[in-house]
Amino acid sequence: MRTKTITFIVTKNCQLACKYCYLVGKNNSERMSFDIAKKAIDYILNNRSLFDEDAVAFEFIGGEPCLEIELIDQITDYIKKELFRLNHPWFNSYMFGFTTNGINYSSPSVQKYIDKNSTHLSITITIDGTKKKHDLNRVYKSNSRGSYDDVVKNIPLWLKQFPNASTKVTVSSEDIPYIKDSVEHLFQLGIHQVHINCVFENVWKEGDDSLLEEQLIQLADLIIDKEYYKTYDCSFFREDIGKPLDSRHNNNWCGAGRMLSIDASGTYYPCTRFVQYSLRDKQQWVIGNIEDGINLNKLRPFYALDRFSQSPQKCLTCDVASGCAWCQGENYDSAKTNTIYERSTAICKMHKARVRANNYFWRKLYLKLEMDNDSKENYSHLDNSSILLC
Amino acid sequence: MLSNLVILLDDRSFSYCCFPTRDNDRRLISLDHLRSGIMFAFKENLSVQVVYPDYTIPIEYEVLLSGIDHTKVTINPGAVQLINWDNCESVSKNSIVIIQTDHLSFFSNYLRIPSILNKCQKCNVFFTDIERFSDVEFKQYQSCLDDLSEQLILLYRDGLTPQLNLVTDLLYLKQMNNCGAGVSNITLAPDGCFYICAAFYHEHLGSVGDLNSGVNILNGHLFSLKHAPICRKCDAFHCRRCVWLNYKTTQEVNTPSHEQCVISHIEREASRRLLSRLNDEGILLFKDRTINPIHYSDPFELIKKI
Repeated sequence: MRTKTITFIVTKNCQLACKYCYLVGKNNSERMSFDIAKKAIDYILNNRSLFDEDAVAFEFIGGEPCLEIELIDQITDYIKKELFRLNHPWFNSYMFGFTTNGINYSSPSVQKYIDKNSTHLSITITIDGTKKKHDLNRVYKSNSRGSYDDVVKNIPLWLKQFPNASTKVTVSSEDIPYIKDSVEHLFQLGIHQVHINCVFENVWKEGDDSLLEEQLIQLADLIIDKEYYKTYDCSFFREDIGKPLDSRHNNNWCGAGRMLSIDASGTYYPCTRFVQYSLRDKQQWVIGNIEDGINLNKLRPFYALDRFSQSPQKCLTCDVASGCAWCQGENYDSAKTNTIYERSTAICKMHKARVRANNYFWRKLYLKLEMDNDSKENYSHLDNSSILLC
Repeated sequence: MLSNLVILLDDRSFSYCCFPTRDNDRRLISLDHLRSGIMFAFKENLSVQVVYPDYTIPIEYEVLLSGIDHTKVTINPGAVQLINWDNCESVSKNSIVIIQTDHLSFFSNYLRIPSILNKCQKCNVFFTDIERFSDVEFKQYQSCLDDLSEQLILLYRDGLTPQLNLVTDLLYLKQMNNCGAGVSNITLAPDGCFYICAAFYHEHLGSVGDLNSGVNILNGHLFSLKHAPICRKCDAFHCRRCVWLNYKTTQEVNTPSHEQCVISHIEREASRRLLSRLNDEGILLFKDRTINPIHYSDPFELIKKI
């Protein structure tokens, strides 16, 4: 089933100033109005030929989206009403979603929204692991204090309301030493799915790959020895990564261009990473607006993108290429020219370190399963693919 | 690999492709830069093409240029002649004629082309506003090409071999034959810097080197066919694949716009129908050429389905 992801950038305000945040242009003045959102929704729902996917996920981001929960409520009410009025094919196939820093999660307004939309809602709270790791980066804008204590108290309520919830953990250079403890900590909080990845930006120092490998091997031992693998999942370990890729594997990794982002002024983008506030060095990539609609020519490069046309030779001949991810927005931002066709390889050594640890994990796990007369087929979550479009 | 250096003598040098000629102020290349550019071409073993402005250049420039073999691109009768619809009767015999036109002017004047073809060796028509074609105008363009093909058949019957890029180029080509800017061609502008082509110069899209440091094209591979996902599988070999137009419409030099693809495929289909008619009439100049029918107007449709 093909799902269209449509993202509303409802605010650029946030209580936090996370050090690894790619949103370099956050501010407290740009806020989407309902009128802008309405025009975008009208355009989307009345142009089925452009939006012909089987299902839709309306995402709300910021900054911190919960700061605009009333606006989100107004927008989603309108969406539901219009889907019904238009007898739209998406009426039975829609989801609302947001990723929040979790600080306001238990507030009455957020809880009221969750209660109203629970059957079509997905919320992810970002909690980076142990207090030490979380507070390294996820700090308040006003006083640089860590936010862990204010987030962790909302986790039980969140898991009660969304039992299959996952969290997204970001790893940068400084927090490599805390990976193992952080993943275990998240498991112990009751979060069964931990999506964790290294940032794509060029932040890695000499020796970071060895540190990462060491941490992941310790994590592998932990997951297997304490049998976490039976009911918990950490996305660092996937059986399909670390293999060579041939010409049949030519698809683009990233979904940029196949999703739609809308900012407070009603401008359309191929992905949030192409909005000016996400870019360090490049001009934003606009594909249209609420008045003129989408300029399909500006989307063509994204649809035409494939692995071959953007990857350097070393990637095309790499023996462990599978599972090596990229972000099209970061590729664009770090490219030598104004192009999305230059793949950043800042993450190369980190991917290779992951592959080595991953190989270790699966060798050890298979040995254990054999000794226990058990089978991987008993744990369906272990078959999760490494290919996850953002 | 670079094989051709295009030298723009002046900011008023004519455009002979999709980029419309601008009414710029005069800015003649310095004699030193011209000399250095020629030396660069010699050292890099490049053919030289010199694009003249609409005025007579100083005698010292003529003297310098007369000493080298080069192709002259000029409005005056010569090997390559730029004409417009108003002066299309003044075609010199056996020249290669270039007509730069917007699409509406083309619709009004296209029936003059057969008389031009009677006199010249080849007629190349370039649209300066491909991106402005509407769906209705695509159909109109198809009809114009069919009309022109009928006229071409009459010329073939008379024993002539008319060449009109829009419909006959593809009959001769068995592989891509595009503009080549940034791959085989590089342009030296009046400021003494190298550019992908004249359009990149006039549109201030950044130089790719100068006469001191040479040519350095960052991400130069993106100008090649191999790194153009839509184009590398396409068989509209005659397409100009204008990288400037690509960049202008899609923001990527390796990605053509919908309009550029559709226009090229309308021309492809016109070529296919012309080939079929010629074969039916026993005019077997292209008997070894095959152009298969297709069911799409834009090769992007094939990629989008993946």
